[in-house]
Formats: sequence, structure tokens, C-alpha cells
Amino acid sequence: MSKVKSLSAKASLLSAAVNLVTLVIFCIYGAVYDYFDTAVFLALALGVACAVLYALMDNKVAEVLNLAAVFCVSFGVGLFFLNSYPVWADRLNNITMYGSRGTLFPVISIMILCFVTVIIEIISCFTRKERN
Amino acid sequence: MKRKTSITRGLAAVMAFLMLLTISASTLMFEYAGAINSALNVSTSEIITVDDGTEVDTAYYTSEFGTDYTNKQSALKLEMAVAAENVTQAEEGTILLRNENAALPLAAGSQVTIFGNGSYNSNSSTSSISSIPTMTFISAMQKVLGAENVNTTLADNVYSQLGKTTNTEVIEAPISDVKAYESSWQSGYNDAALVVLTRVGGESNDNALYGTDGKHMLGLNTNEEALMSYLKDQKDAGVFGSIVVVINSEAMMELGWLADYGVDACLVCGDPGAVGFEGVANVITGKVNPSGRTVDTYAVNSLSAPAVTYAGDNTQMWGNVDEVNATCTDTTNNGREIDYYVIYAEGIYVGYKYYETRYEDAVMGSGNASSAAGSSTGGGWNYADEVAYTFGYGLSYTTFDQQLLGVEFDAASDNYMVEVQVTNTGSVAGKSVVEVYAQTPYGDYEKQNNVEKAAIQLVGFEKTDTIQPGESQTVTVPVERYFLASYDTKGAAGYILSAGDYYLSVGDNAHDALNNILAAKGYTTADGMTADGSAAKTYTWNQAELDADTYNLSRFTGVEVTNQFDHADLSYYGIDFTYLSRSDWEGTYPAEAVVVDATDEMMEDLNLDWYETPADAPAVPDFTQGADNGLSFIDMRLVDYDDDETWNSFLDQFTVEEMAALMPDTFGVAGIDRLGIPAQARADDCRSASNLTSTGEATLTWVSEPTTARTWNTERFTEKGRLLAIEAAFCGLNEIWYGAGNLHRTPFGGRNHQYVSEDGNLSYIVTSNEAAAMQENGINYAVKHFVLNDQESHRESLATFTNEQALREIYLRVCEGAFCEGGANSVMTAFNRLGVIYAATDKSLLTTVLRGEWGFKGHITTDGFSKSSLYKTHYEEMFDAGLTFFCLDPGETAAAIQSFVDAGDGYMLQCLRQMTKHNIYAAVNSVSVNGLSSNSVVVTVVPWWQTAMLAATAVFALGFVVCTVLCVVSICKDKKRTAVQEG
Repeated sequence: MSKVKSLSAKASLLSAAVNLVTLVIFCIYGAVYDYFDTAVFLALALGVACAVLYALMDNKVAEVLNLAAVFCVSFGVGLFFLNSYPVWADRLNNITMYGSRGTLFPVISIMILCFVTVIIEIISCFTRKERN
Repeated sequence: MKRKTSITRGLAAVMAFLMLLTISASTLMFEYAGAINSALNVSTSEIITVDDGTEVDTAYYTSEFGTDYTNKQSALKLEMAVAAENVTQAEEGTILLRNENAALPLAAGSQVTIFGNGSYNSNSSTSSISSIPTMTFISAMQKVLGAENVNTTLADNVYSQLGKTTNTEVIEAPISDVKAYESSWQSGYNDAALVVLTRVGGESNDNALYGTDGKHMLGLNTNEEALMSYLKDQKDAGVFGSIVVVINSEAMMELGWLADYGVDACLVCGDPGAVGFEGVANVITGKVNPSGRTVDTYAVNSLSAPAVTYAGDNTQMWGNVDEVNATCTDTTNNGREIDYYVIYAEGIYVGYKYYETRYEDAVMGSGNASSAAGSSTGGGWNYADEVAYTFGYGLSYTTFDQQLLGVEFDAASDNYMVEVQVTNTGSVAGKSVVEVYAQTPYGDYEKQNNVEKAAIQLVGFEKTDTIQPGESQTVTVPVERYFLASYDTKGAAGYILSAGDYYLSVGDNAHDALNNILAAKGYTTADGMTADGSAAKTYTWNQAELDADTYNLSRFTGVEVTNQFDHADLSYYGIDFTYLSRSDWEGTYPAEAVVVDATDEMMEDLNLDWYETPADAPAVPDFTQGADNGLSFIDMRLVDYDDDETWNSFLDQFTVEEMAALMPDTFGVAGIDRLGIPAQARADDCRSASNLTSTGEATLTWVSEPTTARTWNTERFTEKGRLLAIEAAFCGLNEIWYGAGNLHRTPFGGRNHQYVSEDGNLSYIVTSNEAAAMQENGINYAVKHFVLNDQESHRESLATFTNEQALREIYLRVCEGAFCEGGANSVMTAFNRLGVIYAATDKSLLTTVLRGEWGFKGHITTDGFSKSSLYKTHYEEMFDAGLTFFCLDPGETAAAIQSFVDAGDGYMLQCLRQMTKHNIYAAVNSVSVNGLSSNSVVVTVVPWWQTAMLAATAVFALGFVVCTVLCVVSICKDKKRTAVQEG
């Protein structure tokens, strides 16, 4: 097991934590507004797993797991943006036409959390994980 | 771990993030490419003409501005002409409602102070044409009076700090803020106080019934009352010479208070667009004599119309809404889209038809008209307590006398020709409007068969030229006899001309015309009339027998006209509902909304899921697709719609995929090079075309549609259509989703600014002139929203119940003229349902009536498509109903119909061919053919932004791959080195 003392590992764990919170919020949002998308859920969940495994595993293969986490979360947020387009379109135009549900607040919140997740994970990618 | 590994990994992460973001954005942008192209002013088709030495004039649609749409000078000249026309429309469309003590016009050099937040935060628009400045109310007054004569202290210091009034909240300064600057008008700038009051609706946003202060939204709010009281006190104290109120609103404000606050003059200017305030100022100062007339009723109490019982904030939720949500399938938006309904309980009694009909019955003592039902005072219903300014009302700075010279029936045109002599009896030159109204018989047959009759209805009008004092002009007003027919759902199941006495009446407004008819019947003020009428201004005749034959066949296609909208009436589902009837005002007035439980049959129909492939459907192989018959798009330009052989030959050339590609619309559609079809661009709506191809600047925002109507001048209607069409061509468009297709059913409608009036016949005449002018100039006039989309509240999927008489005589009448007489080649369906049938799936509406009875040949789009709204995804039902393209659809409908054809549904392929015919017919009869000849080749051009997005994605993808590879290599090397060191 890797020591989780390195900046890279800590950042990855922090990123995983933020992503986990995002995932929970997304699940609640998806359930409440009927916007649940399995692909987004899987992408974010995989992002959490990759980030955690990167921080905890002491293995050469694990060296790219934080990169994989960035990929997963980026994919997830991109898909979430596409799915939430009706909300953006309706709310920004102050109309009802695109079949939106809910307000922009949870959408923006989830996207911001995803971006924070990605940025922290990118920091993890740019830094080295010290090993025993 | 090497530093190189972390760097390459970090870079790979950044690249992955950017790549996926770019892919996500690109996906959305490519789906809505038409909208992006429109915003960026990008054309996706290029026409290349092979020069074979023959001269071909391909300017099929041209104007005095030419056909070089990239010419900046031509575009500027066009916009200058548009600006001038807008000023004219505002001049002729401004209504003088009140003018006590000759308060208006203001004398030259008058010094005025401007009040009201609406003077600064107006309901108007800005100009984006650099050489045509925006004309605000203040700048317009400064222009006509001189800046030194206009006190703008409040605008500069108070109103500039406020926001705009919204559809739910009136924003007006507290009186203390106003008084803080009263020194600026105590010793000067006090010839007149000009007060601008504003109300604002919008798409999806009806005006609320009540404002945030609990007062009627369309009445004065608390701060406005305080302002008017203060100004009255100032006037009484001798500070101000007069008070002039300007109503800057398309919602019909309550105006019974003008005298209470000592208001000397009142004008309605509506929404004057980007430059129209100059016209309003010209009226205020007398440069132009006002000649506008109201196109709606201005009630004392905006809630007093029976239509308000089921409208806007009074939209009703099913009594068994939980069961509806548990049972029905299209419960998107947490059920919001299927939860609501409205009932047009007022039947035909909309606007003035209610107030004036009840007035006549009150005078004649019939129908319990004087009962308290619907009274604003709580006592017996009294016209004077209910109506401030009736339909067709408007004053002038001069006076006119109108004499009815005679009426003749012209059988050839099926029109009555009403000849009227208009004499200017005042001292100022001006224009007058000859308004002709009709009353048709309401006898036992009508009462037994629930055929309602308005006591007065507009049937024709003409505006005079400018008439000098003492001079006269004779005007002939054509009146379509069709307007005198009534739709009899129960008895004849078609249009009838009732037996009994008919009246044609010339009047200064609807009430005046009715008084003239009452005078002809022998009534006077002694019977309760508000004023004595003039029997000499009426023409009457008797029809001995009921005529159910004249209009039982379509005037345009010859097909039978009979009941088509039983499903829009609650009785279709076994629910008894009594519409308002003049036979018993007291017993039928909708005092309170009825809570309706959706029946099992309704819930089944709400699901919109009835399509089955017809038993006699053709098979897919029965059709030829992808053939080469040597026909290109331009070859179809002059092909008659009914030339099936040529059309089928052309349609045979399409592949299924090509036909389907014409269906999704994102403010346009891509071209098909192989068949010589150029890309098409479309835009929204009658207020402004789009961005000029030459400069990228947005075209000027026009005066509102009601302002145009308030001119009561067919020349103005035509000129608006003509100039908007030319503007559209200069923006690269071939179609405008114009609007104008719905009614001011209540004063609260959020989109009243896009619709003509509360009157179906006036709308018929306005839209037929506009449509004809636009089509003549090669732009498809798309009426919207077809039909019954008369409110914005809960507009999505709103179940709308009415009876067929009201539907045909009022709501369909609004659009009928545009199609039947104007030749409009496009239409947009509504979001709402007729009964519970979504308008876009209503085959009776789109095929039986629109195409069958009215002979419509163009194409039909939905309103904004979204697959997230499940009720919009009943593709087979929409295709079968007659839809041909789908607004803001990124491609769902194309995929759907391809899947149906792939599954072997020949009927769907037949529908697709029909859709394609209509889509092509509309395009080939538009400006899209300009520049095309048999020597032309159409080439698709990839927009620069698509290239840029693809390039960015490729760069990020490449960066990601390279960095990832380098990272992995580095990790492997690191691993090998570690192994060596450990070994």
C-alpha cells in the first residue's frame, strides 16, 4: 500500500471525496427530477474508484488511474451537460419549451463540483506519488 | 517516479478534459447547427453557376433594394426605409383615448416634465444598426420639443436606478423619491406632466392577474396611484397645466381611473419597437393627427371578462390530477405537462362581443343581462361601469362626419360593398377610419341550437386618405358575406345564414355602431342606452329562410365544411358543460371555474397513442426512391401543386434519408447538393427578422403587431409584410415564424404583442394582407401558434376545451385569412391541446380543415420540439396528422421515421413523401430559388465554426494520445529502472 502522504495521493483522495459528494447529489437530483442517467452515474462512480485506487495502490498500473479518473469525470460532466441542456435552455430564456425539470441551481452545482473534482485530480496527475 | 511521468500524465489529463468538453460542446452545437449558423450569420450553401453563354435572370424575387444581399449600402437603405415605416406605423397606430380641454397637441415650445418609470424603463427595444439610433420616449420628446424643454430629472436620478416592470411586478418609484426632485418642475417644465405607464408580458409569461401589492396587475399599483394623486394635487395647485398619460403596454390596462386623477389626455402607444417613439412624439405635438383605433376593449375592471375565469393564473388543475399522473404515460416535468386545463366558457363572447352584446340585451331587457352575474360593482350589470374604451375607439384632433351612402351586394365577389362619405368637419387635416359592423339574427332556431350571436361584430373597414378641413372622401368598404355566417354545430353541422333581420352599421367604434342599430330598432336613451344612435347609419334587410347551403362547401376547395372538433368540447367525453349564452346571462355566466375530473377516455386520449398502420397501407417497395429522373429543385419552381406526375417523379429521386433530413429544423435545414436544394434558414418572429448578411447587425425591431393593427390601414399591413420579407431575404432567410395566429382572449396574454387583436375578423384582414405581401416577396409567412394558444400560462400540453362555433368563428378565423386569401405557405402548431388532443397530432385541424377546407399547400412545423417532453414524441401520430417539419429538433424525428420505414411501414413512407412534397413546395416558392437556374450547382459549405470545433477536438485528442503514450512509456521505463536497481 502506498503511503497517502504524498500531495498526489492526497489530492486524488480529496478529488474522490468531492466526486463522491457529487455522485450523491447527482443521484438525489436524478431521482427528484427524473433526470437519472446511468452512464453519468457509472462515469462518476468509476472516477471515484480510480481516484481512490490511485491513492491507495502501490502499483505501476495504478500510476495512470488518476488520469483515468480525470477521463471518467470529464466524460460524466460532458454527458451531464448534454442531458441538462433543456434546463439551461428554458431557464436562461425564462420560458418552458425544452421539457426542463427543476432549476439551474442543482445543475450548476453538480457541474461546479465535477469541475472541482477534475481540477484536483489534474493536480494529482501533475504531482508525484512518493513510494516506500 | 520520474518527473517526466507526472508532467506527461498531467498534460494528458488536461488534454482529456479539454477533449471531452469540446466533444460535449460540439455535440450540442452540431445538433443545433442551424441556430449557430443563424447567430453567426453563416450560410451553408453556395450556388455555383456554370456560364454557358446564356443569360438567365435568376432574381425571381426582387425589390427596390436589389438582390445582392451582401451589399451593405442596400442593407442600410432597407433599414432606413424600415425605420421610416415604423415611425409611420407608430404615428398611425397611436390612439388618442381622451383629450379634455384640448390638452393635446402640445404647443410648440411647451415645457414638460416626464414621469413614470415606463418613460425610462420602457416596453420597447433598442436598435443595433449603428447609423439608426434607438428612439426612447425621452429622446423622442426631446427631438420634437427641443431637449431644453424636457425635464428629465426623474429619469436621470430616480428611474435610472430602477429595474423594468415584469409580468408579475409593477416597478414604479415611491412617491417620496419623486417629490425629492419637485423643485425641478415648480417654476418651469410644467406646461404638462407626461406620465408613461408600462406593463410587460412575454413568452411563457402572461401578466399576472394580481401584482405583488395585491392590486389588479393591469390597474394602477400602489406607487402609481400615489404618483397620479400627487400629480392631480400639483395640477389643482396650478403647477401643471395638464396631465397626459401614455400607455406603453400591450396588455389592456384598466383605464376607468383617468378622470379621477384629473388626467386631461391619454394615449395608447403599445410597444413601439426600436424607433417608434418618434411617431408617438409626433402625435403628442400635433405634427401628426392621431388616427389609431383600439383593437381591444379597455375595461374598467380587467377581471370582468368571462374569459378570465379560465385563463392565466386561473388555469385549472384536473380534479383527479393524482389519478391522471398515475394513469397517463406522458408525465414529464413531474406531471406538470398534463395537469392543467382551461375551458373557453365564454364561447364566442370574447372582448367587445361580450360587453356590447350584454349591453344590447340590457337595453332590450332580454336574457337577464342586467343581473349581477359578472358585474364589477356587485350590483346590476351596467355597461358604463364595465367598459372604459370599447373596440374600435379613437379620437382625432379634428372631427369627422360619416354618412352611409348605400350598400350593394356584389354576387361575383360575395361581398357587400358599403359606400360611406367621410367629411372633415374640424379645423385640422387628418385621417379617419370607416368601421363597418354587423348584427345577424338571433331567433328561436339559434336559441334552440345553441348558435350564439354577438350583437355587433366587425366585418370590414377602410382608412381614408388625409382629408383637409371641410373636404370629403367617399370610401367603399368591402364586407365579406362569409363574415355574416354563423357556425351551427348542433343543427346544420355547418355554417348557416340565419333567418331574420340583418344590420350593417357604420360607427366610430363598436359601441357607436351598436347604438346605431339599436336606434334603427327604435331604442333611445330612455331605454338605457348610453347615447342615442343614428338609424341613418345602418342598412338592414330581412332573410326569410335559414340558409344552410351557401357555405356548406369550402369557398376555396369545394369540400364539405362540417363538424371537425367535437373532441375539443367537454361534451365529447360525456361531461355536461354550459357555455355562456345571451339567452340567459345570469344562468350561464362562468362566475366560478368548474373542477373537471379527467375521464378514462380523456386519459386514454391524453396518451396520444392511437396510431396503427392502416389496413390498406401501401408497402415500402411500392415506392421508388433514389431514382435519377433528371429533375432538380429549380425545375419544380413553376410546377403546379396538383401535378402529381411531376411531383412524384421528383420525389422518387430522394432517398429516405434525404427526405428525412428535411424534417428536423434548428432555425434552418441543410441543403441537398445532389438535388440542387440549397440550405434554408428561418427565424422567429414578427418583431425582427434576424442578422443582416452584409453587416451581421440585427435588423430593427418593429412596432408590435397590435400597433400595426391599430393603424386600421391595410396599406400599413401590406407594407409591414413587404419590408419584413425583404429584410428576411437580406438576412438569408426564406421564412419567418411570424406570430399573429392567436387571439387577445384576455388582457393578460403574455404574447399579446405578437397577436393582432381580440377580434377574429380584424385578425383575418390584417394577417391576409401581411401574408400576401410576404409571400409575394418570397418569404414564407408562418402563422403561429395553430391554434388556441391564447395564453402562456401552463402552455405546454394545456388541455383547452371550447365549442366548435367559437373555434371556427373566432380562433380559426384569426389564421384563416392568412392561408385562404394571403396564401401563407407555412404554419407552426401550438403546444396546447384541442380538448386533450395535442395540436400537432390533430389530423382534423391540420389535414381536414387546413389542407382540406382551406387548400393550404405549404409546410407545417411544430412549436419547439424536445424529446424531454414526452407528449411531443408521438411521432407516428404527428406524421399522420400532417406535420412536415419539427422546430428545434436535433434529429429525433428523422431517426424515427427512418426506423418506421426500415420496419416496413409503407404508410409512414407515404407520409414522408407527402411531408417532403410540402417542404419542397414551400421552399421552391420562396426566395431560396433566387440565383438558381438549370446551370446552377449547389455546394454545401462547412461552416467555419464546425471546422474549428473539429480541429480543436482533434488537437486535444492527439495531445491526449501522445501524452498518454509518453506517460505510459515513462512509467514502463521507470519500472524497468526500479527493477534493475532492486535487482
